[in-house]
Amino acid sequence: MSEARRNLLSEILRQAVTVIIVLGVLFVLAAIGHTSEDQLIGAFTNFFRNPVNLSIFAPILGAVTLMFINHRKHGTLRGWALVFTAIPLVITAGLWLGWWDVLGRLFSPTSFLGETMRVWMRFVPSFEGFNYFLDRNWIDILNVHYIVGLDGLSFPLFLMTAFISVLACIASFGIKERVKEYFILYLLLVGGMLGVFAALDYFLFYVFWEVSLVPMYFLIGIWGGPRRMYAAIKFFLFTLFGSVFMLVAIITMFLFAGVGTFSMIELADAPGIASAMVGYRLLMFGGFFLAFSIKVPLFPFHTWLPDAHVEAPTPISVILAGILLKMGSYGYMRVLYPTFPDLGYWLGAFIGLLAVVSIIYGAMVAMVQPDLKKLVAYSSVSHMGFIILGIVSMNPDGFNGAILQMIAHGLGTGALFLLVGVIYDRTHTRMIKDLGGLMITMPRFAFVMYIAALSSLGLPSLIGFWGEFLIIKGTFASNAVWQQVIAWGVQGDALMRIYAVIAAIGIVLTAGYILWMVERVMLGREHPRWKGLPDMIAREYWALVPIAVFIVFFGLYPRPLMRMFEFFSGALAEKVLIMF
Amino acid sequence: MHNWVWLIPALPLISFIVIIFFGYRIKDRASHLLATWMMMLTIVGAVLVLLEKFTGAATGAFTQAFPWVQVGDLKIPFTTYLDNPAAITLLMVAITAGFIHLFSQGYMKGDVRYSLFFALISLFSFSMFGVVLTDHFISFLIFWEIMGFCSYALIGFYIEKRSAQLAMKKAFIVTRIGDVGMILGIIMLYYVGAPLRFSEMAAYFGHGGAHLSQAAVTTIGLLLFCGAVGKSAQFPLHVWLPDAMEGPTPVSALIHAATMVSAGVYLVVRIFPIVQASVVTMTVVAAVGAFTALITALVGLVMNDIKKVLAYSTMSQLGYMFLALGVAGYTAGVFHLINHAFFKACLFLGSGSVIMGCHHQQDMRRMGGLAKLMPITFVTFLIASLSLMGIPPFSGFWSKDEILGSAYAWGSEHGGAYWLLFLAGELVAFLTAAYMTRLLILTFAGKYRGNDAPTEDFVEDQAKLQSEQENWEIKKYDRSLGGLKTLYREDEEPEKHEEHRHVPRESPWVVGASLIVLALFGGFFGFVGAVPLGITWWQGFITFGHAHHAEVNWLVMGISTAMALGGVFVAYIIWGAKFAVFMRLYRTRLVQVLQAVLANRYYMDHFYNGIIVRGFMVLAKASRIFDTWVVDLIVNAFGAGTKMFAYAYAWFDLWVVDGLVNLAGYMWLGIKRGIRPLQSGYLQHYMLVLIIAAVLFWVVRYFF
Repeated sequence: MSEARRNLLSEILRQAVTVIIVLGVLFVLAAIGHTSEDQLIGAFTNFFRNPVNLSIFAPILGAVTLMFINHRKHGTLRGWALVFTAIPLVITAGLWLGWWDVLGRLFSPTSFLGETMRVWMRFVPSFEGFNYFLDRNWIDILNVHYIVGLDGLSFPLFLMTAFISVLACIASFGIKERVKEYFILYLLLVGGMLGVFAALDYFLFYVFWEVSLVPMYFLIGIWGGPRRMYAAIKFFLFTLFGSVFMLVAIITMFLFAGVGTFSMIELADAPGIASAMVGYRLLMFGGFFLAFSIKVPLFPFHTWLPDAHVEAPTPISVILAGILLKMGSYGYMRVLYPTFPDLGYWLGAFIGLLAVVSIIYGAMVAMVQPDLKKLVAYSSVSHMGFIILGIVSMNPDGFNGAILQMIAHGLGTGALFLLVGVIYDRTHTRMIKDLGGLMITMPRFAFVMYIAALSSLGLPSLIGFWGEFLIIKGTFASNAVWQQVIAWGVQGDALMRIYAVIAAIGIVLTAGYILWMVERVMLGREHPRWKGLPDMIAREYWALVPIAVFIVFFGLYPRPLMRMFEFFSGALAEKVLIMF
Repeated sequence: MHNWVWLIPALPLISFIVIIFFGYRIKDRASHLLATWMMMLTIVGAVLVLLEKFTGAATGAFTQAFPWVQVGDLKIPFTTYLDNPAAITLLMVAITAGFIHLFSQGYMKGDVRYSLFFALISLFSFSMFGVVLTDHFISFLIFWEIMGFCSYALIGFYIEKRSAQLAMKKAFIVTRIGDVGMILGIIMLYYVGAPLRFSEMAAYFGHGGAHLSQAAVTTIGLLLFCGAVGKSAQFPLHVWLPDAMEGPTPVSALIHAATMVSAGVYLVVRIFPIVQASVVTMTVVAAVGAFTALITALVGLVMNDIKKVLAYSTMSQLGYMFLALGVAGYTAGVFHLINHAFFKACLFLGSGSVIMGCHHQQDMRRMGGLAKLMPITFVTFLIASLSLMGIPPFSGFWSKDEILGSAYAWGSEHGGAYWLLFLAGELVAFLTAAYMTRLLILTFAGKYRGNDAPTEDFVEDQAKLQSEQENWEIKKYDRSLGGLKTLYREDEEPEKHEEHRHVPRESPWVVGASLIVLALFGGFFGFVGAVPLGITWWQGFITFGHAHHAEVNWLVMGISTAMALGGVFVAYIIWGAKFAVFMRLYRTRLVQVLQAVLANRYYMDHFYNGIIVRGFMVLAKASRIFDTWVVDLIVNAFGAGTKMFAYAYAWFDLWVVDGLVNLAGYMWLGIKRGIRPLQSGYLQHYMLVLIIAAVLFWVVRYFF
């Protein structure tokens, strides 16, 4: 055994010991309040046997573990960070593809692993309730529960979060300073984001919502670009402004519901909320609307996004665009529309207008951005407008399209930010006018760039098309706008049809700015200034190839994705359409 | 073969995948051999399919399906629909694409992105086969857009050229505008509950679309027609096709002449039940076709670039096909679609051969006398030209005659303004013959002008192109550099003028072979439907609704033949014989102005760039300013306002809240200061105070 290898082995052993110690400490902490040993072990195992919990807490545990690692050992830190972000992906992908079921057959059903594999059964999209549901008492004095579970809406987003986190983690290997702090915050962020999509208790939801906010603030503020402090504070305060209103709305809901619980499932159908005075209902709706619309972001609330994107380091931009924005649209579908379908119906014309304005306005502003990253940021505003338009339409097509568009945008825009990062690392410029001819200089880069860009402009055969198509189809057929809304002399359902046509025009604008960007950055004679620029290295390439493969595969065969959420969309549409 | 028809698109897909991923590993030779032989196999497959159709082994339409996309009520099976037009179009695509692959081996020789070229045309062939075969509208849309992407990528194949970059972007965006209309049309189909499978449309929309209101049928028809207008470059979305000639010539032949642009016509053939169910849609299709045919044929008369003339000719002929479909000439439209694909592919390949011979010179003012120098090219080009002009007995004559016959019948049936369609058709026949004769004279007749001193107008045009490229490069690259000198290094000096005289040579055998095959098809395929000779196979094979009764309208035939011959004659006396009187006429002000209008394509590009594109750019810039100075300003003002409020509060806190606290403190301090002297600690002072107090007490007690 060579010296280096022996060192490596002892290093791994030492880290493993650290992990075990941390686990032990957590176990002891969890032991407080439990009476018997068996009960304690049972509770502890059941808690972490739940795949969702394990996915949420693996990165958080990783963050704790990283605290005990020497800050000079960058390789070790990176390796462990990758391992702890990969755990949710491995688990969740297994739940999706059902390989835990296969594995479970190897073990006796009564054994520890056998039982675990039985809990980790394949995700059932058509299940009425929530898969992997877990309900524990948490803060008894307020009757706050710890509830997690996944359904057709949250599962795809949970899966995508796990996926993008791993890729962003690989992309984070380029971070050279304060590596330890970076990965600790990054792992916390991942845990928080996963938690947001899994939480089924408003209190827990709020906690995870804020947990994902704080690391983001530091990640932008410390590792960001020149104007990072301004961007970080703007991002933090803007989002906090929204979440405070959400807290007010949550408390109001709690008081009105009269069921004495924060559970999302129970509050969604609580008669107390449905029969509350319209003013209070508007207050609750408005609080959530503000919080989610800022996060999405819808048109007048979007200005934090370009600043945060431009200043954030590449992997954080990817997380921001790929996942954090989806928390807003997730909130729309999880909270806003199921709980207040009547208000959604009355205000549909207004929210739809904001969505349509976002589509056109985002595309317009993106068209003339000199900064590549800002261009992609504004394209996010445009694409997220599609998602909200799909939700506003309140029919299965619209909901399906919205979820699919969330995934498409997560993959496509994530890839675009990674690619911009690749350029920036080499050229130290993001200005479009300084670039050119990269197709000749960096052919592999150009290949992936074309796939991401074409998906972003909604080319049929790539994933971006399906979301936009379903959304426009849903909006066109929607009668989810209060018929009495007569805006500018147009009847309600005709209004939705007009929105659909405007959104379709947005597709042309998207093609315009994407192709123009591609032309200026990639085409033309090889730029003398960038001559001899190395093509993507393996790390960058393999962070991007999985995204590109999924963009193409799910563009050609979107059925596996659609199977996850079509039942949910149908059920949600049925639920909200009781109004009509 | 029917059950295996999906293999036909699969073959080029395989070559695409192999070449795109391993193209840099395998040699160029391997890529072109793979791509070409896969295409040759598809020809065999297409022939087998057609034979089965022909012998009646499989009658009528044939579909096969497996589930593909299912979400909500959106269920899309992956289905092929192989009716007679599909079978014949399949063969046409296989033959043209196959021989254009072969031709490209010669034409693209030595290109730096040789294998990429073959990958892209293979992908294109795959998607074109998909468009032809697929049954469901959504899968049609997908193939349609992959095709659009290939067109985009191949137009801009020479990415260094500024004009190519502009052309590729323009092509994509302009066709995309049409596609948005088509997507809305598809959504309308869903909305009204109509079938999206082409095979079910005839039953649903038969009898004038009785299931739906006339308005709905018309709207759907017109929206779907938008897609065809974009793809087939019809007015007002025709502006992209002439620019698309920036691509390599085989691409122009395959995509922008024979197959992709015909796909628009093919779309209208597929949705013909919808189109036919509404008189308005029919009229719009016919009118758009006739108008485009006329205006583009006129422009074809003045273009100097050999490929541009052919491009305008393509638009004109596509307009002809739309005219045919719009006057219920279904049989004639498909007939012309196939014939045109063959002879136009041959013409483009011929022009490619000419361009190769003339050392990549595309300007006809630098050609001439090539008939003797390039005999194979000349003969094949001549056959295809005669076919295009509609001179009997070549292919084009038979299909054009069918179209004009249909237009005549339509005119006499409806009367009035519908006669204009027939009139336009005849005029286009005249113009087609004229511009093709001009092309032939300038290219092949007389003596070779490539070694002459360039004429003034040629130099002017070249300088314009050159400066456009250079200005752009200076603007793009000069900002960061010391000038263009570093840009053009020694190894890539700007091309020097070739001093030595050169004589055009005949192109290599792959080129010649492709030309001969396509000329045979292009010149003589039309005999399958030569009604006056008693051959009516075509009219029985391609029918819509009731069988087409093949009868000969000698009047129409006479007029159109006269028109074609008249066009040849007029072109000959203007450009061939150059009679002095015509030359004088040519120099009059009116003709010069007219020529300028035509050469500038009616200033349509100026209009689009100047008004629409610039309008959007201004709007976009305004949005950006609004975003920075209004929306973001409000956010920042909100932040700043909060900060000001915080400062005000801090001041209040410091001076008022804390001030009150301190005031209380100071007050006690004052009081303390006031009473401190009382507690001096000296006994005598206390004694004194005691005595004074006692005295005062006594005084008060005693006196008051």
